[in-house]
Amino acid sequence: MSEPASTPPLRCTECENPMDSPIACSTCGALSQMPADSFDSYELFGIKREYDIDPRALHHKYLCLSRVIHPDLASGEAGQQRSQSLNLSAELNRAYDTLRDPVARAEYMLSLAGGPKSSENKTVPQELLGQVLGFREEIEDARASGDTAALQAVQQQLLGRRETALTRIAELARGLETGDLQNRIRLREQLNTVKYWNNLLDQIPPTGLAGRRG
Amino acid sequence: MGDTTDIVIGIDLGTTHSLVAVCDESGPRVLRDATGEGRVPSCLTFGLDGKVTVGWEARNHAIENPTSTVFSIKRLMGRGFDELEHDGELAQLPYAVVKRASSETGRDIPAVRIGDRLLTPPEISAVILRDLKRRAETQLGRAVRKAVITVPAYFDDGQRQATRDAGRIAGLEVLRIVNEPTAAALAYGLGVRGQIDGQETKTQPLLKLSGQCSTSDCGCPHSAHHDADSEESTIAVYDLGGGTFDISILRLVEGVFEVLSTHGNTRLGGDDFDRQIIHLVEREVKQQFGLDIQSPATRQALRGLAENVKIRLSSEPSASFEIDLGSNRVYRRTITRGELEVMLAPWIERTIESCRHALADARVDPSQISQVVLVGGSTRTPLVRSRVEEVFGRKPYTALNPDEVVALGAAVQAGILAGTRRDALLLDVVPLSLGIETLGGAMGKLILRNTRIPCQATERFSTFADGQTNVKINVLQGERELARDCRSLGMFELRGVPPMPAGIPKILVTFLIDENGILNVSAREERSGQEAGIQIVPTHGLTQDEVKRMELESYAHAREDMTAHRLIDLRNQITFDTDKTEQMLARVGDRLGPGERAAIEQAIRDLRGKAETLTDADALHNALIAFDRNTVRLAELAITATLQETLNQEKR
Repeated sequence: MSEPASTPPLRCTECENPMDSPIACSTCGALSQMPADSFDSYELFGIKREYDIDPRALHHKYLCLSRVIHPDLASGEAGQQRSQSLNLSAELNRAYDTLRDPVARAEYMLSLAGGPKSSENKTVPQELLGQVLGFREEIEDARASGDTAALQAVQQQLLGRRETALTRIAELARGLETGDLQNRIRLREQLNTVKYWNNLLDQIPPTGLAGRRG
Repeated sequence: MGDTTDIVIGIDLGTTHSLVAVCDESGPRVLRDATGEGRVPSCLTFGLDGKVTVGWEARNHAIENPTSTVFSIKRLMGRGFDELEHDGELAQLPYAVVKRASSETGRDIPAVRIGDRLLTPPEISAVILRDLKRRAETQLGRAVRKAVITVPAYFDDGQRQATRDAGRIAGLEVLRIVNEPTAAALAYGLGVRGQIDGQETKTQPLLKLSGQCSTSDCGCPHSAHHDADSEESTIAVYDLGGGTFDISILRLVEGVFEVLSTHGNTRLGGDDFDRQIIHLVEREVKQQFGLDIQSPATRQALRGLAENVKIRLSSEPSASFEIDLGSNRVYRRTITRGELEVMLAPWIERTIESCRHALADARVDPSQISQVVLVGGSTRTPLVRSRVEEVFGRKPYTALNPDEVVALGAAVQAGILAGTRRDALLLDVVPLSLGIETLGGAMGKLILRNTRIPCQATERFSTFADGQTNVKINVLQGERELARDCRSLGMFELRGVPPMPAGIPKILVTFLIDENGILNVSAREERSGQEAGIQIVPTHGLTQDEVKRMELESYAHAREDMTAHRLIDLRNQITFDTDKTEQMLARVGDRLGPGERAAIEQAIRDLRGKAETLTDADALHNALIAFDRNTVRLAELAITATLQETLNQEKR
């Protein structure tokens, strides 16, 4: 697993042991208070703020923390801790989904780097809209005629497009450390772009093929 | 401790059958009747004297009491009268369902009419739950107040709430609503004593459920899951019951049952298979004899016949039957398995379509599925088995009785909540997207389907008019783009918004879906930081007050209908126990201290007094248990004395 974030080690207020996550103490099970907004997703899992993460280590950490804070195990005898445990579990699930999904993770890193947000900058590469319209027509035609082979062909093309966008997103997200504004804007454009591919992929009925969203 | 910790029962509240199970140190077990049958038909009949009968007896008398015998009530839970009528659901039923009058607009709740009584689906379900509760109390010899109840994974918020309401009306604290396929996975994954090929199997996981920290230095103190190899397995649970279908894809790793996705249909099950046969018979009788056989009594009779034919065709290539229509007219028919399969194929294909959706949402390829588990009685249908095998490319796994596995899983989850076992954890998902109606009637999604629960989303609301103090929000669940195509869960009305110019108040509303898949809404005015009042009018559900009132009513009925004989049983037991204690006192009372002896004599008087005055069976039951506990030492002395006497006799 990656090294913990560079903040001084947290100690549990109950048992005074070091905590590997600010959300709860995995030694004594004490639950933390919810902060006013939310936890830092990286700090919560005790991993470095980098685009490249080890998904297995993240998953393992997620399961360990779930065992400490999930309401089924942490509500206490008379359920007195239920509300706290519910809120923390929802927060853990949010943070896990943010880091697990490459697009959500890049989006999160971009927001930590100062944006722009999707509401502030909706630009996409010029040629994209024409391509999207073309794909949409192909999907509608194939659906109307029940042509599953054509649908699968479109799906393959779209998966390829999305893969390209994801590769670009990864490169740009790794370059966020420089703080370069142009880099951030280009990342924004790619994140906007991948949404179009995902929306199109969602319109194709499932065929049992795997890896629709990587 | 012992008696003071509440026991938690696990209940599978099914469309056609229900079961109750408990979990102790030796594992989960289904509570059975004297003949060894665990299933209780989810069927009840109201006698002319107002007495309610539940289970096999009710089912066996369905033809005599066609309009007062209620079955398949689960298909009505949490749904509106209008939609049920629109879907043709009500036309199939021999009993009468009406729209319940409501003073509030926008509400639409069905009710079953029995004589002059109107009973909502949660009240009907509560009767079944109370019967299961009593079965558990009789067999465990103690009061039961807490339960885990299972629901189809694809149940929406309204259907889940209705199930929880049913539990409350039955006098049960519902600790957890668990999804049926998830419960089944828990039973399979944690190992239950089952019967495989007639042989008792050991308590060990039937599925590979192993895992180890993928990193050696994880700081994770939970050693229970640090053994075995680090493999994880992905399983599919295909659950086709009497009235509902679910498919769930789960990952089993490190003792955690992680649901990756779920899909289903809450109106597809064995009931629909039966209906295909019923429709065929009705059609042909009409063609051949010009007869309409749609009276409530014939419908009840046909239901039994159709189910029987369907079950026979699971093991035989054809099934013959005849119906005597009177006046020397006899309808004779032989249905082949092939013929039935043609009728069932469209229904089964719909379940396969759901499987594809679930796999896609889980981002899992069929080849990555290491085990397909079949749950629910309808999975005995050969066509179901062969189609599932084709789609997943492997033989489905059926080691546990498909009728009982959900109840066993519910009992395991009950054990987890009661703290008797901490080795497992369920992480489930919300089956349907949750959102709100936005301007123009669109569905604005806030939480996407298959998001892990608990989860939450927040949304800011404001006012449209100057001085407006109330804001109404229509909360929706579903995947369609327009609000009118989704299910409305209810109108949430924010009250007490400070009067300000339009658009100035900022109300932050939090939608939290809890571990039961049930929505909790809270609101806060951001400027003042004050909690805003929020009133919920459930579209197809009951309000808190209604549930409370029904619980009291049902409590009253329950006392009259069912508790009478429990009181009699308890009083007999008290007479027996107190007499026996007096005899023991006479024999070995001198071995007790004087204070001890006086206390027991007083306890005997108290308990006899209570037996005469108390009418609350639970309280009387507790008094009896306390009495028995306080006389344990005396009983031990009496046994010792008997042993000594026996020994002395042998010596002579």
